[in-house]
Amino acid sequence: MSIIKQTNRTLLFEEINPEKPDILTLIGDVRGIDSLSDEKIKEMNGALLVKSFDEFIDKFDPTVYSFFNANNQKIMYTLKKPETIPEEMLTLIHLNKQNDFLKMLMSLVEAKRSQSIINVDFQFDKLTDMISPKKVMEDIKQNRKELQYVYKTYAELEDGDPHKLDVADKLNVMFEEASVNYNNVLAMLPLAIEDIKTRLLLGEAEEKKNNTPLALGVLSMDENGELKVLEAPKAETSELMVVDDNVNAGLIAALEEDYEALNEESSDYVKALVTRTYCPLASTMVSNIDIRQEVNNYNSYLEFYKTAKDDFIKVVKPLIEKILGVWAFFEQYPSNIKGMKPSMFITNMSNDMLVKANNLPRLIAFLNTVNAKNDFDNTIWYGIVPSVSLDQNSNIRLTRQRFQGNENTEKTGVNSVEALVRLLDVLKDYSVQCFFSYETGDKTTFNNMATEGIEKYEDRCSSLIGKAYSEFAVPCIPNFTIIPKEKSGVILDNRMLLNENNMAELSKEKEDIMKLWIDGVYVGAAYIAAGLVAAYQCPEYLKEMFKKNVDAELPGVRFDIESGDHPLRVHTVMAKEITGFTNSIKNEINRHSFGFVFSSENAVLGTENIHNIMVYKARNLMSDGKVYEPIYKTQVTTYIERILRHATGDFKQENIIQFFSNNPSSQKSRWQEKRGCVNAVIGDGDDIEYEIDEANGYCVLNITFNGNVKNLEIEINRFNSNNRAM
Amino acid sequence: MKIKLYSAKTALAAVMLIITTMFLHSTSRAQDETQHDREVVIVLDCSKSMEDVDSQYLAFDFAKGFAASLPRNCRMGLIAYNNGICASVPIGSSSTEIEKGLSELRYRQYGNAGAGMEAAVALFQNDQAEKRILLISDGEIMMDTNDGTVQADQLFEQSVAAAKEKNIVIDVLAVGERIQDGYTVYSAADDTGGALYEIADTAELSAYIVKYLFDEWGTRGSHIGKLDGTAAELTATLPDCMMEKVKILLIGNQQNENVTVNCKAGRIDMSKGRRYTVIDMHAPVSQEVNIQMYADKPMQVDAYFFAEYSFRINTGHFYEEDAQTAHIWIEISDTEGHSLMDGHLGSGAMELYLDSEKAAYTISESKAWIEKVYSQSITAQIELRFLDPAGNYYGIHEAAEEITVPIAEEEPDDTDWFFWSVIVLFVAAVAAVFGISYRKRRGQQTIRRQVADMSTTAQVENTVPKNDFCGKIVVYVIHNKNDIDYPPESINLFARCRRESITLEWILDTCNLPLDLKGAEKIIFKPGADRSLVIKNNSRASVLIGRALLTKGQSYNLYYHEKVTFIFDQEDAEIEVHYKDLKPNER
Repeated sequence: MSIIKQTNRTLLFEEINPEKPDILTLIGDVRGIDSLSDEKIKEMNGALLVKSFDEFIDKFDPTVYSFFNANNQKIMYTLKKPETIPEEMLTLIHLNKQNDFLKMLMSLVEAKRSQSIINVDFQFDKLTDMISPKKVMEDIKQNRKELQYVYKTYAELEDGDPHKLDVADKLNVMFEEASVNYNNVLAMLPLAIEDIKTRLLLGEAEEKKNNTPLALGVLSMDENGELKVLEAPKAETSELMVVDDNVNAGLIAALEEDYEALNEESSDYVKALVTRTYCPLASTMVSNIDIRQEVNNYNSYLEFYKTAKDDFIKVVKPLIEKILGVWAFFEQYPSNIKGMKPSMFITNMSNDMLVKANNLPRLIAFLNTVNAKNDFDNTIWYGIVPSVSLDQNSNIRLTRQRFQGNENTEKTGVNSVEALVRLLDVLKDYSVQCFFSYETGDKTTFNNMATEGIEKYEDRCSSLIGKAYSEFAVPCIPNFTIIPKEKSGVILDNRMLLNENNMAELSKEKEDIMKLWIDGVYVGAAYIAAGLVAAYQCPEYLKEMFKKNVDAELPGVRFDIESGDHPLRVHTVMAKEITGFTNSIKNEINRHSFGFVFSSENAVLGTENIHNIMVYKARNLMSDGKVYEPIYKTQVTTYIERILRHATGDFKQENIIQFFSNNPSSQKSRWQEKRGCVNAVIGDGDDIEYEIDEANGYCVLNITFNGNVKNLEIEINRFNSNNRAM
Repeated sequence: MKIKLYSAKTALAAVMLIITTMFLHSTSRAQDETQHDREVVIVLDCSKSMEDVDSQYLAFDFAKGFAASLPRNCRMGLIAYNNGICASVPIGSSSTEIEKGLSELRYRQYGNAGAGMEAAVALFQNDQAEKRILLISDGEIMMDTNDGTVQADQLFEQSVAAAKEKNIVIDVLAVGERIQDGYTVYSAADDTGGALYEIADTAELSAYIVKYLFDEWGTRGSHIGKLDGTAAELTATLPDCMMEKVKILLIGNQQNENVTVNCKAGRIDMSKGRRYTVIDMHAPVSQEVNIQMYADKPMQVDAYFFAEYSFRINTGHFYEEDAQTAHIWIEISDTEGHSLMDGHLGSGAMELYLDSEKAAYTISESKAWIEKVYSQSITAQIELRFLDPAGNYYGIHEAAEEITVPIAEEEPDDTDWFFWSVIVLFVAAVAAVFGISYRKRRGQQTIRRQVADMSTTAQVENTVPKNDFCGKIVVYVIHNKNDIDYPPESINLFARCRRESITLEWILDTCNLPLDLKGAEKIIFKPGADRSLVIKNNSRASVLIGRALLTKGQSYNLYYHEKVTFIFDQEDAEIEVHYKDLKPNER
């Protein structure tokens, strides 16, 4: 650990926000240079390296741009900032933890994890309604309560009281958050929908429909002692429900002023809506409201909200899946552990652009700088390429369309196998293990794999086998499901209609239920595979999982996650999705030991039931003709090579001999001492031997893993200043 | 004594013959490629009236099938019109792009054939190519107003005239019944020398793929069978596996599902529509292709295939002075250097013409050999004609070989003792000089290396002997004139490259990069000490290792993990060559 302080930095090949710097822009021109300066690497780390999900959101600020199209009366959304549209016409929607859609998805994962229920039994609709207007209003109600309380405190304090300034600061923050809703008409829609519903349906009892209009009354006894509810005198009023009139009058004034300041074209309707939402008035329902108009408004708002949300989800889903992927990557490492925390370097650009022949030398120059030096602080150990195209040839349509089926629209952001191959060809030269997963959708889920097996993945990988880079290609299957396609419907609300008494009521007709379909949200398996492997590199993490037999100094490079009870102890934080794979599917996986395969199985460790998804196989695509090689072998070999290069002054022959000598202070002896540890570099049954080929200037290391030998050839350093001179 | 003299003379003749043969290595001259390009634009009427004659959208099916079937010398574009242009796909687009262009279209609105024709004419850019427009329409030019219709018709007439001026031939594929009244498009065919085909049923359109490809344009292809009934199987046997690409077209009434193709190839793409299937195989490995089709209703499918070969010719000869016969060899190889004679060409599927006369040849050592008597130096013209009924060959079909006949020694009437003494002394002196020089060089532990291009003035290098090529090079085309993204290519030099030196031209050829950089043959790579590559630039290109510009004519070492950049200003191209070591599993 003193030489190599981290073995888990991960390079994510994805574009998050095109407005933020990307790897190529930061690297710049590499004509005539093989590597980058330390300042440049520092600058790149500043812009593209993240160590937590919060830092990721801060640095990359994933954003969706929306603008209104007057021609079709629709809101348009786009992930790329439209350059021709003036700034003031664009609305930016930041996809952060406050975004209702993202928040809903993250809550889903957490709820599933805590309840340990498989997909088929999980009540997705309980959480998906988080994006319905009702839920938005509930959130606002909570905020409103806090706002009123703080404003009351503020109003009660004397001017000049220093505490009043502190409260004012707090109030400013709360107003800022509230203003997110009222300076954006779209965000006002759920408020308006709920507002109308509240005003028009106030008289409707929960259990029984009442056809008489509501009139507020007082309970009293008449002259005969009969109990009666007498109608209270109606008054056009703007009185406040809350008793303390002064406080709320002040709050209303403040909200109105703030609304007007933020909106150049303010409308009285919206202004009233804002104040009603944040500071409800009494008896507004007795005002002379045009019920028909309000019902129409309600229906059109709901329709508009549904369309807008629908369009928003369609556009944002690929980005959301990337964000959730990054979130899932960091989630694998518990936040309470303070050790070798996984870090992620994000290219922030499309892979099609990155792998162009004229751009690859720039990536090479970067990797040459961080991976080909004897400084390992910035070394990249893993790569993630999610969303690799699963279709060999997407043009072929071999079924006649008898019914309207899924449109095979060309998925944006899908990486071609050709792009993956170009990346792998570069990554192998820098010993970066590349975790890749196939495009998300219902064809690559646990459910699908449980019924169809892994043949299609093996077929798709066939072109990557038997190549020099096969050792560094790790196909991760299956992808994780956040919301399954068939359970992704969200009921927003029902349409409203006027009944025979001219009263508004919610329609109970099936076609009047406003429902939108999220169409499934998934996370690429590569994020979670890389996240888990990065997590178990940390000795503290292993200590937390194993409690004993863990060396505090050594990274988990030799940790074999397939062996013994390792998969039961080191598992993902994702909850089980299905009941498991059938024995025939497992036999199929075991036959060649293909891929980095996750399993959703019943398992017990001691007395504890495991409710999480575990790793079933962890293999790369290097095959001896029968089985594929475990990924740890590649990482140990890389680790030993790097340590050896550092310790021997770039492979000086005499130092190599010393490195492997039986002297107790030699590196090999020190590794052998820790043989019994879970994270030993040379474990039980392992050995390292070397042979020096003096004639050709090579040293061949024979690294034995449980009896299987892997060769590593290194060139002995025999250069001197004379023979390198021109 | 006379016998001795004759034997000395024979020896001298032999020396001369060897010298002649050494210097008469291949001087074949490149000639223009005979394959000419063809550009075609399909103009599709997408007006509502088309729906009456083509409710199944088989015109779209035809356009997609046509795009997928084209041979490589034919490039296609597409224009679709109704009130205006509703889809425009430039010439040279792939069949996928054509399909994408058509994916959202439906027959609707009116038919502004003028706008369609104008846009189609504007798509043509290449003056050299044979140009053709296929206009598929129900024949009617009709807009929502009378004025609009008149304007559309006028624009149509003007565009047809413009097409004629640009030598664009317009064929009209008129679907449905012929329209007698109003403004129509039929005249465009006559005006430009094209053909008018009246097609009653759009289901017949698919047959025009075959008609155009094989009948009109002379693409060589074979009918290989029929698939009838509800379940059919066809096995096609390819003549060999040397071709770059094979296309199998299945044309006719078929169901849009259930096709199975069994074969091995570098890549197989399949495009399928209602009346066509195109199986596009790159670098086939197995000679047998098995196709199975199933359908609910009986099918009527005709199968055709054509193959595409890329080739280049190398020629050379040696001259047999006694018989005054030049033995000329012709080597025909594909882009990867494999001899096509190893395939079916070796069994008589070609004819060779020497100086415009058909010549008999024999095949040996993967080369075709022709013998001809020449009494004086001449440039022999060699022409290659392929007889293959389904093979389309792309490359230069002609070559020239310079035959140099050594001037014959006249038989002296009497032995000229003085002359022979001088000759003997001269030979002895030359031998002595060579001998001394050889010993001296051996003493210096140097070897003389052969420079790849004898015509260059490259100096002879003195390098440490026994250096072999090792490692690998990866070639990145950073920039080229056409801004094409060529994938990075690598060449394994270790134990693969038996040459003493290689040139940048060889590297580009091996990587199949058709950049044609002037002077690339003068940039020479040789193995150097410490597993380095020695680079010497004799060209006008700028060559950089790191930030250092390489001086012309001087050698530089390139070590592992270093890169060299070549900038060719004239061709507006920039190439980076990275030199790397090989991991054990890469060897």
